[in-house]
Amino acid sequence: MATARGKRAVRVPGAIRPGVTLGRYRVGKLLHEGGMARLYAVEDRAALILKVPKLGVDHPASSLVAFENELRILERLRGPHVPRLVASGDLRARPYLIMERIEGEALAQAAQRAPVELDGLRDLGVRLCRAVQALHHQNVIHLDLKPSNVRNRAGGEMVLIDFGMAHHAQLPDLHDAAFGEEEGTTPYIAPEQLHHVRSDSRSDIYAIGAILYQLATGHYPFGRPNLLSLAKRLAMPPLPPRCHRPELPAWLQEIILRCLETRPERRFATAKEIAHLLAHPEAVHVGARGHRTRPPGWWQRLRGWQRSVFQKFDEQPAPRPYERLTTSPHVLVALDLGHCSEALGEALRRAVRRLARSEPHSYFTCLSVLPPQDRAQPGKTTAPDVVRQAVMRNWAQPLKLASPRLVFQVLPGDPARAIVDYARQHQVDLIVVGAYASSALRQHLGSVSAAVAAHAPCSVTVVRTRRDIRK
Amino acid sequence: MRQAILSDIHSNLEALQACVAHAREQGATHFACLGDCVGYGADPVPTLDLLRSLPHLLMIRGNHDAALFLDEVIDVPGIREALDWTCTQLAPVHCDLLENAPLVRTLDEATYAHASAHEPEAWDYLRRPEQIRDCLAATAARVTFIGHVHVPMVFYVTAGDTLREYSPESGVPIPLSPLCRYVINVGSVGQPRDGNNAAAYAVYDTDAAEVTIYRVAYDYVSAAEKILNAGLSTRFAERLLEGR
Repeated sequence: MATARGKRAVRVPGAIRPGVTLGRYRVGKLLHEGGMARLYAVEDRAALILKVPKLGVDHPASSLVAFENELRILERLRGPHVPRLVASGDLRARPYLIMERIEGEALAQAAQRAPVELDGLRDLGVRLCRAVQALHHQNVIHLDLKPSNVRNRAGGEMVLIDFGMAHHAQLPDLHDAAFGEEEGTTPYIAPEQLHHVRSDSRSDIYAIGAILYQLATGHYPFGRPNLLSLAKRLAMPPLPPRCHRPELPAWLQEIILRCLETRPERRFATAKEIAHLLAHPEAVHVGARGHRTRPPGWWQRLRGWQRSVFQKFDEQPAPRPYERLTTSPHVLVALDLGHCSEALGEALRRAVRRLARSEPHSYFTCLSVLPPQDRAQPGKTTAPDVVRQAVMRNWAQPLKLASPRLVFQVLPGDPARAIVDYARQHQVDLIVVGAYASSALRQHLGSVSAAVAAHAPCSVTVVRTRRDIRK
Repeated sequence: MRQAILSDIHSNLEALQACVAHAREQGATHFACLGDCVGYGADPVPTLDLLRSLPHLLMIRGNHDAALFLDEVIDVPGIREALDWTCTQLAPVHCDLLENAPLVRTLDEATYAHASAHEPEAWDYLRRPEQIRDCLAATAARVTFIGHVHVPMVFYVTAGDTLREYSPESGVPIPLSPLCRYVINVGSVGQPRDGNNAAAYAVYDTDAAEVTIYRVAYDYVSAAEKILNAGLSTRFAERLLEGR
């Protein structure tokens, strides 16, 4: 907004020139000039970057607010999906922050060359969702997700940057609508953000939908960013992606359009659900939304505009992002049906049924691990993992869970380690595992539940039958 | 410097002991008491003795402390009797402590008051935006600590002059932005009234520019029993259990 006028470098107190030292660091050359801040290299420290807010009469007064907001939030964030904060200057005397410099721009590049092929899109989407999930897990909502704010490490993990707009649920919010600040970036902004709601983690889900839409079609969901495109998102869903590219699968359109629902409560509750569905398209329940290939009719559009006039996004005491994550738990059911008594199989089913009923938004992955010695079985025609899948499906029949809530997975390797690794990678909330107590197998398998319980990144329910307890 | 800010102790020795011990664990070296040391509870003398022993104590006078020496009628049933009973217990040294305490005090960047920095003797309950703004206008300090309402709450005016409130979480530090001004209600040590019967107090870290509200569980059963044994209103004892 105020950037056009602020382009010429005005000498203002607090401005930093290359060569100056800040603590142990020496300012390098100017790398980027944004609306609110300047980014500099740090001399002799290629892995770091310096950020300095733009201050003074020619710059938006909100730039210091955004800067302080980012600093407060970076101080509290941990993990591979955010840049590490290295040092910061006193906010009143010399505000600056030095953080890890993350170069990878896989998502931004993909967005530029969009439409991207399906496998690439799924991979980028899954990695983006994991990063967003990790952020929500720490009670932070980004509120300005867009391809240029997503970087990636050499190892592939996506890193979210620029927390100037972000909201931390455990800090008094410094942002101020009355201050005339921008509220995110036009193509990706959620409808409720236009109503100044800053506490709904599903605003980030909307942005994920907009990014996926862009990757899939090469277009923004509501066309060129302007005031009309802002108003439209309050009134109607975007043009179905399959209008742009009819060959896109219906399941992908279903995911994207659900992210882009006007009402937050109709979107996915968590980013990890999106990651799960991108990885398991067979689990997507495709409705009319997914099959649409035409723009909404005039009657529907008229209704949408009419409704948008009265639309309210009351900032109810929204659950903190972390609390919302637990309302749709991802449950991993570790099954070893070859070594499992009928009674234990039934007990496992009972445990899963109870969870499915008490948590209507929960979803399940049934996992079976093939130890190396079971993999090659000469004389058998069917591949062992196909047999395992069939056995698991058979076990799950009586549960009568609709397929979107249940997927099956067979993995090779050491059982306990494979279960724990899968849970860590897929941000599983609960592991259900049977205690295999039959004495002959105990030394091989009985230890699995104990090892899983010891190393799991989440809660573990060990299911045991009364008979097995008695031996 | 880390300063523990206690308010509305109301002669609840068990709650005060728990908060002081907790504050020392957090590294508090200075203490402030925002008034209403007496009333409701049955331990005025040990409470005031413990307060007097605290290092670098900043004392503020509250409405109950002031009413102790006046004959005014108070509309809470049983409270006049409780204050009169308290008077019979106190030694001159305790009376001096309460009588000599100022209504408002400013130290460096913080102002301390019982109800409000604006017209402190009106004993307003600060809840409405205009009351908060009056309180902020009465002082130049960046942060004003108050009590009196018995509910911990952070009010702040942003750089864009919008008044906001924030309900603090126990143990989660609140950074004080140089761009904002704050009125922080530290809650009540001895008579919490937000439905949580744990004692409330704040630690103000001047170096880190952070305030943390803590909720501390304490032996409220003993405190309630003492109230009943002293023949004070049973309602005062019930409130400790309910936190209302």
